[in-house]
Amino acid sequence: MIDKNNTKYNLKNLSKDEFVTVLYNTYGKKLYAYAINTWHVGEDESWDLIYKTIYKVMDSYKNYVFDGEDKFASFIFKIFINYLRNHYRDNQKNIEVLPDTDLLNSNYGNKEAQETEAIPESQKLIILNEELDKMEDWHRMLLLMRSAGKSYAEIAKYIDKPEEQLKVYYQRFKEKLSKKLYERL
Amino acid sequence: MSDYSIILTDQEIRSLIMKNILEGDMDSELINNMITMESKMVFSSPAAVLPAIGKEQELVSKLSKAFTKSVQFTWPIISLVTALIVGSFIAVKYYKHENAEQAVATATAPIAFNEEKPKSVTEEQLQREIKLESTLVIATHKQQIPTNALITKETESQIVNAPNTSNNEVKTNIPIEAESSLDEKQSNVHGLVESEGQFTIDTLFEGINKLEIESKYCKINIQPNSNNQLVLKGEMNFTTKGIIINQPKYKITLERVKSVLKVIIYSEEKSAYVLGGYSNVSGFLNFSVPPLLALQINNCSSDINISGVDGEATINNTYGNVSLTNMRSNINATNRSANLTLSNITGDIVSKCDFGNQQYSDIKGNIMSKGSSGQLSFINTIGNLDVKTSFSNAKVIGLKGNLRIKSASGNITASNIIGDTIDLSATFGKVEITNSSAHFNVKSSSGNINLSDLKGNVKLTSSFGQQKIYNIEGNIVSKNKSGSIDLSNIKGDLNLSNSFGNIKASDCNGRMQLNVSSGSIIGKGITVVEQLIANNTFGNIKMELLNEPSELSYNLSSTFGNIKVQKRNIHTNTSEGSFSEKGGKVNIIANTSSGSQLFE
Repeated sequence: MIDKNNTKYNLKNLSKDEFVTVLYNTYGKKLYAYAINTWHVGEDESWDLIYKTIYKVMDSYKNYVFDGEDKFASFIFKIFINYLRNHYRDNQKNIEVLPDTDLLNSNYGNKEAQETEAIPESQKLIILNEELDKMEDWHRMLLLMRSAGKSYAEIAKYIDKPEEQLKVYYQRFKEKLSKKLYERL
Repeated sequence: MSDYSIILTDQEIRSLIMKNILEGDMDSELINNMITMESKMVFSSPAAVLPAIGKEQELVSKLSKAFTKSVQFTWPIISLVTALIVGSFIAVKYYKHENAEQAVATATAPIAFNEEKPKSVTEEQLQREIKLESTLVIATHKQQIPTNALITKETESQIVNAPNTSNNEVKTNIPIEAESSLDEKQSNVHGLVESEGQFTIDTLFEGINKLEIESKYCKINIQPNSNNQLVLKGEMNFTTKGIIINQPKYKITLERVKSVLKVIIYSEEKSAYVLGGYSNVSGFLNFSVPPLLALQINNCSSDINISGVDGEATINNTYGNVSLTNMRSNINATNRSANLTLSNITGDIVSKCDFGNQQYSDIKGNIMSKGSSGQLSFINTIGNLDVKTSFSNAKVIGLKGNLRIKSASGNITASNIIGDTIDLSATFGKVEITNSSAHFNVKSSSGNINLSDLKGNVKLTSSFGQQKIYNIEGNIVSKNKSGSIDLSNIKGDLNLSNSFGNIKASDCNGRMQLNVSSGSIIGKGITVVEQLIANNTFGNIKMELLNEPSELSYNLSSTFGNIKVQKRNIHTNTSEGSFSEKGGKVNIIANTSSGSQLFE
C-alpha cells in the first residue's frame, strides 16, 4: 500500500506542533465524533483513543511516504480501528453483539421483532460477507454507504454514477443480497 | 419490493458491517475494503460531536509535550531552549466561526502533501479549529492562590470579601438588589459573589431551600446539619511545574435568588499548556445543609458524595463517582462515565449510567435504571424495578415488587424476588432466576435460561439457548427453536415446544403437551394428570410413567417407527403402526412421523 519510493506525499518536513494540530483538526475530531456516535464509546475513552491514535501516527508517519491523502487517511483510520478493537477486547470481553446500541434498542418494546428473532447474527454475517466479497467494489460501496445513512448525493462523490440512478441500483443490490440470504438461510 | 427485504434491513447491513470492522480479520481484503470505505465516510463529513475546547487544546499540548519530552530527557538544556522557541510560536486561541476558512488554510498549510490541500479539509464546514498562537506565560513553581470570598452571617445585608492575601484579583459584586421578594426580606443574606482565580471559600447562608451547583474538578460533599443553615467550605488549587501557557482562571460564583442558591464554578475556556512539567487541578466543595434541601447538581470530572439529605435531588455527573446514601427523597441521577452508588434510599429513583457500575442497596421505592456498559446490582429493594441495559450484566438479589429487565447483551441474574410479575429479556445474555415467587416471563434470543426454585406460572421464549428448569410450582409454557429444554421436579402443567432440540423432563406432575420437530422427547418419573400429548416429527419419544396402568388410555401412532408400551406388553414393529386402547381417565396421545415411541 505504501510506496516508500514515491515521495509525492512526503510528510517528514512538518514540525510536530504543526502536525499534531493539523492531525487533530482534520482527522481527530471526526474520529472522536465517530467513536461516540457510532460506537457509543464514552467521552473519556473516545478521547483516549484519539490521543493514542494521533500519538501513534506522529510516532510512525515519518517511516512512510503516502500516495495521497486517501492513503494517509486510511492509515490513520486503521490505527484508530486497531485501538478501538483493543478497547472492546479489554473492556467488553464477552461482547457478542454489535456495538450499535441504537439498533438494538430500536427493538426495545417491539414484541413482534423480538418474537420473530430467528436467524443468528453470526450466520447472517458469514453469508453477508461471502456475498459482499463477490460484489464489485462500487456495488459494495453503495450498499455500505447507504446503509450507514449517507445520502445518494454524498455517495455519488465516490461512485461514478448519476445520483438519480443510485437509488435504483441500491434497491436492486439490496434485493439481490436479500435473495441470496433468503436462499441460503 | 420483494419479500426478501423482510430478512435484510439497512440497519442489519450496517450493524453487520460494524461487527466486521470490530471483529473481522484485518488481513482479509474484504475487511480492509470495508475499513477503507468506512474511513472515507467518517472523514468526508463534519464532526457531529465536538469535545470541550479546553480538552482539544490539552490534547495538542500533551502530544506536543510527549514528543518534546523524550528529547528533553536526553538533552535537557537543548530541550529547554527548543521548548522556549517552539513555545514562542505555540499557544491556543479560539477559533471564531467567521474566520473558519482562514483558520483551516493556516492549519492545513504545513501538511499539504506537497501537492494540494487535502480534499476533506477544504470541503468540510468546520465549526472551529485549533490554531497556533504565540503567547507565552512562564510559571516558576506551584501556583496555589488562597483567594477568598468570605461570607458570614454577621455581614447581614451585604456580602463582604475577606482580605485578599494574594496577588490574584478577586472580583466581587455585592450586593445585587434583585427584585424585591418575600424571600429576600426573610433572608438577611442575598446577592452575588464572584471569586476569580483559584480560591478558598467559607460562607454561610440561611433560608435556602434549594441548592444548585454547576461545577467541575471539585469533589462535592453534602451532609445535613440541624441548624437549618447552609455552610459552604471549598477550595480549588491549580498546581503546575514548568512553563505554562495560558494559565487557567477558575472562578466561583455564588448567586442567591430568593431561597435558591446557585454555586457555579467555571473557567475561561483556555486551558493551560505546560512545557517541561505538569499541571493539576483539584478542589472540593463541602456543604453542610438543611436536611430537607432540594438539590440540583451538574458536575464534571470529580466525585459527588451526598448523605442524609431528604430533599428531591437531581444529580448529573460526567467523570466521577456518585454516591448517594441515607436519603429520603425522589432521586434522578445520571452518571456518564463512572460508578453510581445508591444505598439506604427511601424514594423513587430514576437513574442512568452509561459507562460505569451501578450499585443499589436497601432501596424503598421504585427504580427505573438505564445502563450501557458496566455492572448493575440491586440488593434488598422494596418497590418495582425497571432496568434497561445494553452491555451490562444485571444482578438482582432480594426484591419485593415487580421486576422488569431488558438487556441486549448482558447476563441477568435474579434471586429472592417476591412480586406479581418478573419480566426478563436478554437478546444475547444468559438469564438465571432462583428462589422467587411471581408470574415469570423470560425471553432470550441466544442465551441460556436457568430457572430454579420458583413459585408461579412461567412463560419462556428462546431461540438458540438451552433452558434448564428445576423445582417449579406452577404451569410452564416454553418455546425454543434450537436448544434443549431440561425440566426436573415440576408441579404444574407443561406446554413445551422445541424446533431443533430435545425435551427432557423428570419428576414432573401435571398435564403435558410436548412438541418437537427434530429431537427427542424423554420423560422419567412422569405423573400425568388428565392428558399427555407428545408430538415428534423426526425423533423418538420415551416416557417412564408413574401412573397406575389401569388409569391410562393410549392413542399412539407412528408413520415410520416402532411403538412399544411395556405395561401393556404392546410392541408394534411396522411402519404406519398405531396403538389405541381405552382404559382409564388419563389419556396418552403420541404421534411421531419418523421416530419410535416407548412408554414404560
